[in-house]
Amino acid sequence: MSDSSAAAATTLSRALVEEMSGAAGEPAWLRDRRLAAWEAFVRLPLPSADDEAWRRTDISALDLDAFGVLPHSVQKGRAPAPLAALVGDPAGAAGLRLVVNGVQIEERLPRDLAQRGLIFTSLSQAVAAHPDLVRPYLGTVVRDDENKFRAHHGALWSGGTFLYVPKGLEVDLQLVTGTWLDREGAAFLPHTLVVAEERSRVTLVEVFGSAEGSSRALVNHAVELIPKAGAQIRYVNLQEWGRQLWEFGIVRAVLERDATVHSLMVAFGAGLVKTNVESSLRGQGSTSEMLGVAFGDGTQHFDYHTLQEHAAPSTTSDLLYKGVLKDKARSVFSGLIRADYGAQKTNAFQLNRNLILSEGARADSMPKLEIMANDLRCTHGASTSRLNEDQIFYLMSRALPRAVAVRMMVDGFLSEIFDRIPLEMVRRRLSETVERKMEDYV
Amino acid sequence: MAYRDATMEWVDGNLGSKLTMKYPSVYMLEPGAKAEILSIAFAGEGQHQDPGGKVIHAAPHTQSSVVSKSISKSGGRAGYRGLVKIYPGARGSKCAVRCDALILDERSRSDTYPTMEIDEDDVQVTHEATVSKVSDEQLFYLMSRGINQDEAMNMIVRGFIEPIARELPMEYSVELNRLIALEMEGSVG
Repeated sequence: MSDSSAAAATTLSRALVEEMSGAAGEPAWLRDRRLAAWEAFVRLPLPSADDEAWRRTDISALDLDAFGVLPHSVQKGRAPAPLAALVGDPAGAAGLRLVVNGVQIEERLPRDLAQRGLIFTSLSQAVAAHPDLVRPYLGTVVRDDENKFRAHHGALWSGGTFLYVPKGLEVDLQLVTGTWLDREGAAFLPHTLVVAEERSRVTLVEVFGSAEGSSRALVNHAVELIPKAGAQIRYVNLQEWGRQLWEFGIVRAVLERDATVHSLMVAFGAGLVKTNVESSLRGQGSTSEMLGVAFGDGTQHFDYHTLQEHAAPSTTSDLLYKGVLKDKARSVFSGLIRADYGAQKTNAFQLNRNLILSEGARADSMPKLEIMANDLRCTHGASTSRLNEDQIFYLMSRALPRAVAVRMMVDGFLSEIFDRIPLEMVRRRLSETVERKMEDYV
Repeated sequence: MAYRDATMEWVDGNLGSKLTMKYPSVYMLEPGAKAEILSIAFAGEGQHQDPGGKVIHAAPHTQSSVVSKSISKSGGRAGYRGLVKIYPGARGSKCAVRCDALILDERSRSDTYPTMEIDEDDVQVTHEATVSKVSDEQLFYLMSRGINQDEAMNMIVRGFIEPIARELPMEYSVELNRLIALEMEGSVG
């Protein structure tokens, strides 16, 4: 399974879209949708620096044609050691799926959950097995013609995760998808679709990783979260991609009445990340908690664009994104709170904090508000600072070596988010990776 | 342009006009330079007030503070648009931006677009913004003391901009308060 040969760099074409759809045996409605996305892909320009949303993220060196698209397949196999380490103890998970270079090597779901109607499989398999549950939702939250990357994704996505939770079912343990890439020159385009029926509750953790250093790759991910009335979805996306990887993605939730979404984005890897995280609160009484941690070192570039859209009365959103930047890393945070006309009794909070550890690191922060209702509470804040030397001095005066003092300060900075993650496995992984990233810091 | 230990202060009031886009800027070019921008915007019916400010830290140990207060009513649109730029080498610089918005009715709109570009690690930059309405409790309290609703509303709005009004020379401060009282006429329906 740890085949690290180069993926064939197929030139992107309409024929490729047809060929991939045909090989997967997809129904006509999906093939047609992919072809429409392909038309949009051809029509839409690659975003350039003229585009406000892309002004701070340079993708002029990107050539989408240089990556070979990985198709989805199923073949039982053993997980490579780094993927096993990334996923952690599988006993803590209710369901587990492992995917290596697009090949699903494991899919596990306890029988009682399956019997109660929970579906946890790849989206490609679900299209064939549960078309009546996929078709009404797929593409309703994230549209293929929003921009070049969405169109690229819409035409060529494969694999991904489909999670369906029937009415009233509450799942305590998390469902986990673990993905590993070690194919040079691969393009990986998974699509995640989560549908939580009324009053259900579920946690999906997606962890991604790829071989450090060598693998040049492209990931274009789309996540659609659909909690129905009173449903709760907790979504965790943790990536430890290799340094030669480009990541483009979108995570968007549309919330119905009294629905709740908790999202957590953790970015440790990749050379360049440009991801949108959005919540559209369309049902009265809905709540969205959005957390994010990015730890950049080397020349990593993280660009997060967030949206909290309040489109109904009495909705709440709470966003906290923290960035730690070391070496020459750079982060861009651009977040918008929008309260539409009539969105009275909105509570919206947004906070972006950046800790800069090295000279040469850079953080740009653009928290924005567009408020069209008057009976609401809305605050946002942003701050950028470096380690407080007085505090370090204090810790050192208590006989702690400088490295330990600094580590404690970084831990303290991130603890505000750590404390809000009720998942032991994710907390542990976070803490380990931060430690590793801090090892060479002086 | 502010040079060594110089202080530049902008006080900016925007009440009239249909559309205002005005961004007073301070370039802090030598150590110890300071910038202060105070900005008030009041947008009534058919008005779009889009003021703000730019502070550019191009030398070590420079300090800036931006305070913006915006009020929108009767379908008006008021806000703040600004830039904080800290160049590499501007060590020990500090910048605080604070934007408060008061929206007086449900037809009005408030926008806040601050941008921060930080190229130096030894700095402190903060931004805070709040958007709120006139609190019913405050209004109720004043009215329970025999103040009519119009006057109570007026007092609350005056209180909201007071931190800026008190920076103004006496005559201007009085003038500003009168103008706002004028704008506020008949605002409670």
